[in-house]
Amino acid sequence: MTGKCDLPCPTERLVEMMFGQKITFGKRPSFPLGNKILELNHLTLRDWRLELKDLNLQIHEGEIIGLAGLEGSGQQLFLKACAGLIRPKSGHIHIGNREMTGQPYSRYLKEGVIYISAGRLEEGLIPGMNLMEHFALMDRHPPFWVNWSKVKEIASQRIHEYKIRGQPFSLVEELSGGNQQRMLLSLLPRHSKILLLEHPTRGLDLESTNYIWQILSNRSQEGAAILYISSELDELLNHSHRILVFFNGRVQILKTHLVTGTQLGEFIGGKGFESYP
Amino acid sequence: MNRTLKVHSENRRTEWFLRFSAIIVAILLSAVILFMVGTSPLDAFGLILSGAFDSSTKLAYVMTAWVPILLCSAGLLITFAAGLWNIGIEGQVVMGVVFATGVMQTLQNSLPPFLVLLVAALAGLFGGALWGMAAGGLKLYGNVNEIFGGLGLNFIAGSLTVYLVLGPWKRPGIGSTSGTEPFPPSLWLPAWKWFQVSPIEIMIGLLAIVMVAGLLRGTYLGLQLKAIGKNPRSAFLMGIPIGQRMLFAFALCGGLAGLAGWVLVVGTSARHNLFPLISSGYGFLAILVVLLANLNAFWSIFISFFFAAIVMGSLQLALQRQLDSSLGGVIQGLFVLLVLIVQGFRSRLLSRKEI
Repeated sequence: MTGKCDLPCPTERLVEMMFGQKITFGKRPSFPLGNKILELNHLTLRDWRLELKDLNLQIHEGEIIGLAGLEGSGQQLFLKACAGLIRPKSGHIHIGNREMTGQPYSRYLKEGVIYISAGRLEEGLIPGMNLMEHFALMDRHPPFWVNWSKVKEIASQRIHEYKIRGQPFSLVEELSGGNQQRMLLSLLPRHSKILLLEHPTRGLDLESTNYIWQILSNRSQEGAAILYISSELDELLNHSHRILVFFNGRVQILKTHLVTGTQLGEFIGGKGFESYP
Repeated sequence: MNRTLKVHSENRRTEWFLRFSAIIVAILLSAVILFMVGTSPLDAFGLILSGAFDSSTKLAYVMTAWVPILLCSAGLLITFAAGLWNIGIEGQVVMGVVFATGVMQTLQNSLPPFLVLLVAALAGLFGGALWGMAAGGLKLYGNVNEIFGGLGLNFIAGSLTVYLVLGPWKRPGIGSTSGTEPFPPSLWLPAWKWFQVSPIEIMIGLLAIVMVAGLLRGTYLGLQLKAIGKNPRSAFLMGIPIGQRMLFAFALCGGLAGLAGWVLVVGTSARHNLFPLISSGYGFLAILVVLLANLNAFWSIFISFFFAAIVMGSLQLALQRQLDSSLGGVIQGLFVLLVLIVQGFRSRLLSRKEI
């Protein structure tokens, strides 16, 4: 037992007892945004049940954009199109000044676009392989032979840097959800320009959530644009510069400082969606 | 860390114990089957052993069967690592034989024998690789599962040998399925004087398996193949070109199978010609070897030798006891089946423990 508290007990006290330290929740970093990094012009996306029509958006270096909406409202479709994993029906995607419409995922990857799915072990990490092997795989210009001692050194360094509770030889499936997410972020190449994340903190404890946002904030300050899907209103409001709300095949762009949690919840449910300027 | 190491060594001990138990049960079940067909199990096992090892000639035949199985096993270690069931390996062996035979027939009178052998080896390698890539191409571009594609290609390769043996490559004046005109001894691999086995073929087999083990353990390519085998979706998202790598795996496996085909023509104790069913099921047997070895290159060497011994030894069951020599295949199948059952049982137990 780490402590005892009579009700009503303040949340901060409970959190401190659970994690053995005070957790201070990070906020959206405030710094001037950089150049335009991602531009969508009249983009129309379609899958077997949904169509998102005529999307226009400009995203800048360092900007954090939250994607909100009921599950299956098109957030994932949008994110996958931005990664080149889905071909748009019409319209254009530019990264920097480069036309990327219809290019394969590998080209997007070369341009520094990284996609991290919500399924950490299904579409991110490789069960059956250890941490060291994952770091080796991420080498973009590998020599023929793997230099395992060098890879081990890199793995130990990243494990320490990202506070992953594991060893270079630990299998990824042995890590907790939070540590798997840290592992995924530790694998991101340094030069990443656009990070596309599905539910980056889903199912994580407060400490891990907070730490993940510290990492993402650092990346955004280094100039990476971040687009992420979340179902957590507080997370969307606290960390995003803008929020895209998806409803019934339409997308509304909200400036975070102009909306409250209640309004955001109503938008997600479709209330006031049509009349928003 | 110490606890993790202890758990791993305990797991390894349990795994070996279970495997050993599976082998004992397989021997016992084989004995029951032999008893049911009316023969004494001890007598039958004795015949298999003596049929494989009681003279240097018999041992030479075992070695001659061992090398093609070893080469196919080396190839299959690559495709299995990439999560591919290369059932088409049998056809790849056959295409290796066809290409090697074609080249030897064309060049035998115009080049020195060692050059003919060398070019034929490359041709066999190329033929097998081509057939492997055909299975890979069907999977990648035609969305045909490699198992079905491979079976279809095996059938085509088999039919091609019959056509060639009875058609364009038939012996002068004879249209017989006994095969094409045998090549002269100058186009056989040189053997030891005291033992009818060529050191070259043994070296090639062992070198192939060592190189494949090195490729899978120590290179980025091997690591990428393993990643594809374990989770192709994640591998793709990591930026690994999975299509290219799968084709490479098929080509390399096919190439090694094609080389096995070359050994089946030029090996010292081979028949030195092309005939229908020349692959003798060695490709399929190699699938069992690799499964039994749990994708371990080191153990594949010994298991393939053991299987080659059973193949050759069990011929004695037919010759001396009028039993079907396919009983050897039943015994091999039992070994693999029981080890796989034990593995499945163990992973089920482990997953229950985790829940």
